[in-house]
Amino acid sequence: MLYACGSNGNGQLGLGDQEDRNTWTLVDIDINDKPLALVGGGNHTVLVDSVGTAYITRDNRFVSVNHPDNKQWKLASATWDSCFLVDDDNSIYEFDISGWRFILIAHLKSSIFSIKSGLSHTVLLADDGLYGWGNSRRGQCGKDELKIDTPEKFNDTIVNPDRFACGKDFTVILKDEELHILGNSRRFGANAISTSSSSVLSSWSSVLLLDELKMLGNNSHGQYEIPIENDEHIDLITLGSEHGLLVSGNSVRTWGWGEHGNCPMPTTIHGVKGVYAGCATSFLFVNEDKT
Amino acid sequence: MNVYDSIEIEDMTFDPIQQAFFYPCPCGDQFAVAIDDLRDGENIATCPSCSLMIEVIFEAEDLENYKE
Ligand SMILES: [Zn+2]
Repeated sequence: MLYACGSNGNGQLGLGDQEDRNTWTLVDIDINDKPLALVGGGNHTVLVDSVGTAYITRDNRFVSVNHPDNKQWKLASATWDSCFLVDDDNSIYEFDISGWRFILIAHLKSSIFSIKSGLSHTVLLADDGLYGWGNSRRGQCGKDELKIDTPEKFNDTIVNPDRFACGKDFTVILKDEELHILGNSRRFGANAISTSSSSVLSSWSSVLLLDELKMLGNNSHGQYEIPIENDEHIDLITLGSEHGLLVSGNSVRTWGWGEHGNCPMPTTIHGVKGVYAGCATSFLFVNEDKT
Repeated sequence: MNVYDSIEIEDMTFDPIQQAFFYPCPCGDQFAVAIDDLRDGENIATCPSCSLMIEVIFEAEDLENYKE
């Protein structure tokens, strides 16, 4: 079962209307297993279910979108006004939301295992390294070009998808005991910050070093106030545009900027298997049998 | 005043019809400020759908690039 709350001005929660929600609300979509991906852009949400079917919100509902060659989707990311899907043959498609159609961007010979987007740039990790495209005005695609149309290889190499993340106008990469900030590093005061962390998450303007449970960057709206005690274990955690969700045991908690209802009070929910956050939107996947 | 973020004017989108600059807000709507307001010394863009505000970083000369 999928639950949602938060900003819903364009029906991006998939609840059949355009009213914001400030409590976890059941979404009418038939998925029994944890989604492969659930990502949100400015006014849309993209879900890839466990069997590789993609759904995108339209007219306030999740609507399935078929692969042009009937292949299965495996990964998705969302920019501000668009989204990218990767199929099991490692072809990358953009989904043009206003035209409601897929556009082939590239086909990689290497195997792609992660894709993430900022506001207007996208980075993917394949078994031969990182590729980036989109707006690169600040250098967020690892290249000194204003805009990159199709995926181009980064100079930096990493192998672990936990080691990179995209903010609004930057990309962060964990390498050699340092967090490297490519693109706009103004919010961090440096291009590289030493850390022992091995995984990183990013909101639009702040970054979470997971092992240290330390936030960096913008703290204008409680982004640093992760609601966890020292002796508690974090089972699931994610960041949205300017908020975060975490699950510790059966406790679902949120922090950061929650003006649109995307940060409900701590709630006890059994069987949460996935947490996802978009632009002031929050989603939970909960196992039916609540185990 | 708690400004959420600072954004350089080159990173904003200028709409010549509305004569205003726009930039995505984390709520899903967009921050907006009229070029005339920037000329008058304003440097804050607001969002019509939430309380967040951004500071626009620019020099007076920058505005010359966006003539009607
Ligand atoms: Zn807003």
